Amino acid sequence: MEVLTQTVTVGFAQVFQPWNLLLLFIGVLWGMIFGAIPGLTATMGVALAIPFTFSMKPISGLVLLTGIYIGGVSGGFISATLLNMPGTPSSITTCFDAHPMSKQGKSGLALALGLFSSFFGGIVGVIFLISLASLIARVALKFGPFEYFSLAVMAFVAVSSMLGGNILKNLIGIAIGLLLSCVGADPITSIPRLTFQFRELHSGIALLPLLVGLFCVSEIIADIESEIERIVPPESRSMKLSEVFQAAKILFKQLGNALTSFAIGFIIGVFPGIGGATANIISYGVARSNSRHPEKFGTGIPDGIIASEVSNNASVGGAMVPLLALGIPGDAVTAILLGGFLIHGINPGPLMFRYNPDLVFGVYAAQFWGNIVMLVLGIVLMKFYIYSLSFPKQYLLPLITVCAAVGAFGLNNRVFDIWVMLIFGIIGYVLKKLDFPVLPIIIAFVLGPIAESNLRQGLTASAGKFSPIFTRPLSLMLLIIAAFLFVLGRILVKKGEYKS
Amino acid sequence: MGRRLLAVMVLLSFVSLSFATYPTGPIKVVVPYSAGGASDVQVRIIGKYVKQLFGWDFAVVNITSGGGSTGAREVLKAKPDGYTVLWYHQSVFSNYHVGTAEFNYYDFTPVCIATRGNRVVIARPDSPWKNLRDAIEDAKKNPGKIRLGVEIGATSHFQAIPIQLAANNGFILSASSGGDMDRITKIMGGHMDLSPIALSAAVPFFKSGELKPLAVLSPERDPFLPNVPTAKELGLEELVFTQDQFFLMPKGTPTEIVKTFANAIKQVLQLKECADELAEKAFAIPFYMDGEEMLKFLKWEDERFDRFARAAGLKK
Repeated sequence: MEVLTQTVTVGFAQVFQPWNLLLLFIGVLWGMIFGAIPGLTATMGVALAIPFTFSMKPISGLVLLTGIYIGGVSGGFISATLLNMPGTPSSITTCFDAHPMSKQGKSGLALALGLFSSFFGGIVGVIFLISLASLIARVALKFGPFEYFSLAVMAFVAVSSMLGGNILKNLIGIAIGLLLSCVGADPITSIPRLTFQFRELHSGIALLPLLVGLFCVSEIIADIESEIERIVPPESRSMKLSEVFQAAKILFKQLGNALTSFAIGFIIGVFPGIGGATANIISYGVARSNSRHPEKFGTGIPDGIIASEVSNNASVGGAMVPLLALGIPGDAVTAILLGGFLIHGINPGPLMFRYNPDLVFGVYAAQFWGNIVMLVLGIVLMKFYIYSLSFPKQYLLPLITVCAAVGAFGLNNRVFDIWVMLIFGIIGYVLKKLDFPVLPIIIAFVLGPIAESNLRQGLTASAGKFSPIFTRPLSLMLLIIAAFLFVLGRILVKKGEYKS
Repeated sequence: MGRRLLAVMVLLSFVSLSFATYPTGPIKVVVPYSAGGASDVQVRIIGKYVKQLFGWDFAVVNITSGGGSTGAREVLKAKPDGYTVLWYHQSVFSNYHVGTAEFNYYDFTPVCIATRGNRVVIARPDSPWKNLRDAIEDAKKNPGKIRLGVEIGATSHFQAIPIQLAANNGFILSASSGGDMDRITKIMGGHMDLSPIALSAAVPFFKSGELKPLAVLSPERDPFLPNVPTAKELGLEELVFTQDQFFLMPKGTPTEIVKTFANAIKQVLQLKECADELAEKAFAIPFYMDGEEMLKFLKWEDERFDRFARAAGLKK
């Protein structure tokens, strides 16, 4: 409680200085643009801004970076809705319902839902962060390699059992994803594997180029082929204020869905190394299994948009927990944020509350106001975003391709990653033609390494014994949940398939 | 004859002119680790003072993964014109001797060593050991019970080798992935018992009482931890490890460029502000060495890593 009051008094006073407030606006806007353009991510937005903060006062620098982070994770739904391309890895499942809804001529409502869900996930996340950070961080410490392994297994089983469609194709997809994730340095010994003596592959295939390739580049190739002149239909090129209210109302009606998705996003965010993309996929799967009409998912219903966008913004608050409380980054963006903190001479972690309390409260306040700024900017500027994404495709597609390539390059400053993106673009296009789902590939690619690396770490610590997977209570609990979700998922998929 | 001489002279004057103006643009400094890590923060601090003193721009580029070898490889194949520099440390030896990288320090042009950071063995504050010697004796008496955290094949693994040998292989070598922070988290959460890590990462946790130091691995006691014994004082002669950050340029970089660059770093490190900032933000001290002296040091370290790799059967 004391933290909460100090955030309100000390922190808010700092952020409300005109210069800082301006920086917060710039940061959120900058982040939203990065989030909205496929290939450019929140991570990159923050990384690029760090040099600008060198000369600033610490609080100003932190306000700017926090703003970019919030904007960056939020912006992803815009291109997911309008172009069917996830703007950031953490808005993959937003595509599934927001784009169909947009195609039905309800772009405005779809965008408003994305905006409000992001706001909801973000703001509730901040409140949780402020009140529970150190407590949650202590609990997260209890998670060892075996628990991580079981958590990954749970996520994996839950998500893959809920995928509808052809089971054989899904399984093949999962196998492909796992195989791709094995390329590169072995996670424990760093000895290269499956690189075929190709040195560029020593560090493996990065998620971003793979994702952008499979989802965006393949979509671009398909678009070139199609006859449609404009990607965004002209009749749905605005977002009315009435739609904003409607979206808020829908969200309120689906509070159960929103809160579940929030919990999933926040908890996954807390665990270092898992991140928003996983949170996004899992909460979509769970929302579908909890729904009374799972068969409607993927056809353009609000439920899917809410699940997806609430969870990825909630994961921001979650990922800040270990960063602020322990100095351990929760995901790629917070890792860069940590760099930004250190450059200003601030060591996040247990000592930050003792030595730089005003900065902690400043960051909290920046998070809080950042979400409000995001909502306001979203409402005011949505027309502009829509406009910029509705250029004739001969202009827009090359631009997006360039941005995606820049993003892939910027990841590690290597041209190789651009090639990876293009190759997976072609693969994605072929898979699309074959009516082969790409989601299982992504899920396996994201979760496989977490499971592998943690299992092997656990086995070294237990001197080769597998038993702790079942004897450690938390680990066992997660596996039981996994089994439960598997059965539930299969029943629901069956039910949905009979209905449709 | 006269014409040839003239041509040589023209060429020479051109060459010296181009050296005199080095650098004409930003210098790309590759940090093979993520932004915000100890080595990243250090080079950014140095870059700030290089800019102040000489007006040079350091464009710091983080190329992560592969335990540093991916970034190193990018410099290995860069043009040897002094505009691409690698900021690296002892990982160049460990990566080579366990086979994760096919190159060693001599595949580059060594420029200069710039900073030194110390390593420390950490444990939970409630652990029964006062220092590293106690932990080793405990492991000897109770083999297979105590988990010594290492990143397999990385420098922490090399540091664990003499510890493990002193304990008659009584420790369980518990693998981690993800660097110092990962092992700190695992120790705090009770998933490992002790581990060698960079002092810079551990100091905040010592101050807050969430970790305790068992021994520093430097040749002398560390100024940040004056009460903590060195491993050497505890009778572990071989256990002397530091993290020394150095600049490497691609092989074949002209000597004049190397000297110009090294000299700039030397002068920057003599600034009190720079030294203070390195100490405050990165727990590192200026540790300058160049030319023959540097080569001798690298060679000595390399041979040690080779020896440890053989002793532990890591050598491929």
